[in-house]
Amino acid sequence: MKPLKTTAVLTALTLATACATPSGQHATQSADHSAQAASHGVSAVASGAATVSAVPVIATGAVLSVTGAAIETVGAASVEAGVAVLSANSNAPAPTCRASRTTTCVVPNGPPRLN
Amino acid sequence: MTRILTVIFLLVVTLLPVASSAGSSAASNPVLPANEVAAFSNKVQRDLAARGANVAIVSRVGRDPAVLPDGINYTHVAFWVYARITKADGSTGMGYRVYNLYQRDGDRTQSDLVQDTPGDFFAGAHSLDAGIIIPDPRLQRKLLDVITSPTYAALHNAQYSVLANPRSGQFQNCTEHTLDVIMAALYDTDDPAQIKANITAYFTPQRVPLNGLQRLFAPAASMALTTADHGANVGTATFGSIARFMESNNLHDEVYRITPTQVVRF
Repeated sequence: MKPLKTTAVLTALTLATACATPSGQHATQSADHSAQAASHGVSAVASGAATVSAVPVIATGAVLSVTGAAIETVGAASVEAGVAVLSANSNAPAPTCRASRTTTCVVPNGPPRLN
Repeated sequence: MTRILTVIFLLVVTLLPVASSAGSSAASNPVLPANEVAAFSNKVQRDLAARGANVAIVSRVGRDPAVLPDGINYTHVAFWVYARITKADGSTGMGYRVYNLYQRDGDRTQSDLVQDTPGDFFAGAHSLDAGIIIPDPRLQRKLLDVITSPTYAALHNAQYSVLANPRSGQFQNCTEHTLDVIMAALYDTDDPAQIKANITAYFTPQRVPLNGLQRLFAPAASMALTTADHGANVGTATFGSIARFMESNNLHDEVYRITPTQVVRF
């Protein structure tokens, strides 16, 4: 009974796999979804053509403010383009102090607060 | 001994095929009709735009909730960023761009940062159900500063674990990366150690009850199930635990759920 229970729990955990990317099959379908979403949506983009850029903006009242660092070309097909734009971080600086398990070697700041 | 061998056999036979295809949801997950996904994606987009959200934290149901551990309802979380989108034909429009951390196809122990569309985001969903956190507008601006800076990618750790400990930098999943970005924005820092110290001090992970035997054999099923970064108890970041953190610290504007038929507060 115990082995079965263990298996059941771990099966649930495995199925809980988070952050799953669409599969190859899904990628094709999702590109189609995107096109349809775009063409169906009033607030979405205007046509079913592939996205070539997406520039984050802050809208304050009637003023649109473009964030300068974010003018990114994202390519022809959304899923592949995303990978091309943001890849795994190979040049990240190594942290000077690596936290491990439940302890850290840095004193925390105060509680989070918005000024 | 026989019992242990039985456990190992059951784990390997039962879980390996599942683990190898868990991210490729085509095999184990129903593909929702394209028109329903498109309509729901636009419903979420229109809802967010109507509320004036420039940055939102959106989650999806990637698996049947009946098979998920208690306390975990959503399996993927990403930032949705309001953007001016230019299409290949030169037409432009406003919509949301989705900033994901996805588990890598072909190597479940690795992840990549991927931008895609609301339609892509819901394409692999088990059901059309979105958990949404709209941060306080002041935090939205701070989040956008981080998302559009090198810090966003610098906070990515490609070593993936389903149950990554958010207090540790050893492994990371999509929810932990989201939490790291939130902390970077809140504290105006790109220092991973400082971020982890603040998470340890102020964030309560979702507890996942596992006994020693389960933890011992989980990596045999998939290395992405490792709990090597945890202490005695296993806890991970989830949409729900991030929502509770945001609410308890007054960092949110709204926390709610959208389905095709209703919009409700949690």
